[in-house]
Amino acid sequence: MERSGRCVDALRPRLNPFRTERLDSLAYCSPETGRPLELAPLVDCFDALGRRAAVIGPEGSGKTTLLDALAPRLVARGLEVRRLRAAPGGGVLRGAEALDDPGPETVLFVDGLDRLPGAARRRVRRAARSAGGLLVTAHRPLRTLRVGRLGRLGTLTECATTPALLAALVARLSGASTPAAAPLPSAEDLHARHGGNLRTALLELYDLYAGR
Amino acid sequence: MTFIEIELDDGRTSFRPGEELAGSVLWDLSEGEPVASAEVRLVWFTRGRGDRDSGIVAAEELAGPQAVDRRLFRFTLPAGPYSVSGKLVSIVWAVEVVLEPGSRAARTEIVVSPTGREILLHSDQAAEVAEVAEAGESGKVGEELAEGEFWGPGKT
Repeated sequence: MERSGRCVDALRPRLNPFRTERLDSLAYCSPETGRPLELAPLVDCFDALGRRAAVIGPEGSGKTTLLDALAPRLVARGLEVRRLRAAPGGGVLRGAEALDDPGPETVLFVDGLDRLPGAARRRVRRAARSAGGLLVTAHRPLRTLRVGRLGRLGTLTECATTPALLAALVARLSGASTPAAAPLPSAEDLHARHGGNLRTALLELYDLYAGR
Repeated sequence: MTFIEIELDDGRTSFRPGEELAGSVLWDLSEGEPVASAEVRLVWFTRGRGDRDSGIVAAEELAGPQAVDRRLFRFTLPAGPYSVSGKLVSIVWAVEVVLEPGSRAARTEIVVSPTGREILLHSDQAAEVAEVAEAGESGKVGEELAEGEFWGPGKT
C-alpha cells in the first residue's frame, strides 16, 4: 500500500479518511478483486433458501456490511426488514422489539446470533416461526453452535478477507494522502497483524492519520 | 434540473455562541415526487473513531412546500457545544434541510465557537487550520487530492 502522495499533518477526526462514518458506508466487496460485489445473485440465493439463511465469517469480515447492503434490496422487493443485533461483547439484544409479531412480509436480520444468550436465541426462534424470512450472522457454522433448529439454516455466504481487499479499501478511503506519523504499513502486514479483521486494521490507519 | 441548496447570509460559516444564524434554503424538485413536507434543522454531530452521536438543536417546519421553492430561516445558536476536534472525535455543527418523501436533503457545515474557529485540542493539529481555511469546502472526501490541497470540511 505504500504510495507517493502528499504527506498530511495529524488529521482532525472529522477529516480523517478512516473515520467511522466512512467505514460504515463502504460497499460490500469481493475479497478477490476488492470491487463492490453484485448482490442480485445473493438475493436470489436467499430466496432459493426459503429466505432463511446465515452469513458466516470471522470478526471484521464484512458480515454486518453485507446485511446493510442486502436490506434495501429486500425492501425494494416489498419486504419489511427488521434489524436486531447482539451487543458488542455479547449479551443484551439491541432492537429486541423487532421480534414482536413479525408477519409473512417481514424478514428478521439478527446480527451476531452466536453472541446472544440462550433466552434471546429462543426468542429469535419463536419469532422466526411467523416471520417471512430470517437472516442471521455468526462467526462459525450454526451446526457447531447450540442454537436448536436454527442450526439447520443454510449458509448464504461465508465472508472472508484478503490483503488485496484491504489494500483496495484503503486506497478507496485514503486517496493519495499518506499520514505524517509513519509510512503506511503494507496490506499484507496489516492484514496479518489484525488476523484479517478489516475493521481493526482500518482503525489502526485512523490512528496513524490522527497522529495517535 | 434538480437541486437542494442552503445559502447562509453573507456567506458566513463561522459563528459565536448566541449569535443569529440566518439564510435560505432553495430547491427545485419539479422532476421528482411532490414535496410533502420540508424542515430546516440546526444540528450537531460527531465524527471520528467509534460510535456516532448527534443532536437536533432547533428545527423549523416549512409550511406548504412547493416543488420549486425558496424559504428563509433563522436560528439562534446555543451556548454549546463548541466546534472542537480532539484525536478521537470532532463535534461538527451544520444546517440541514430535509424534504419528504424520500428524505431528500442538503447540509452545510458551520463552525460555532467563542473564537469563530474550530477549537483544536492538540498542537500537532494546528498546522491544518490555515490549510483548511485556504482549501475551503472542496468536498474532496475519498478522492485523490491535487498537490497543495487538503481534506476540507466538504460533503460526505
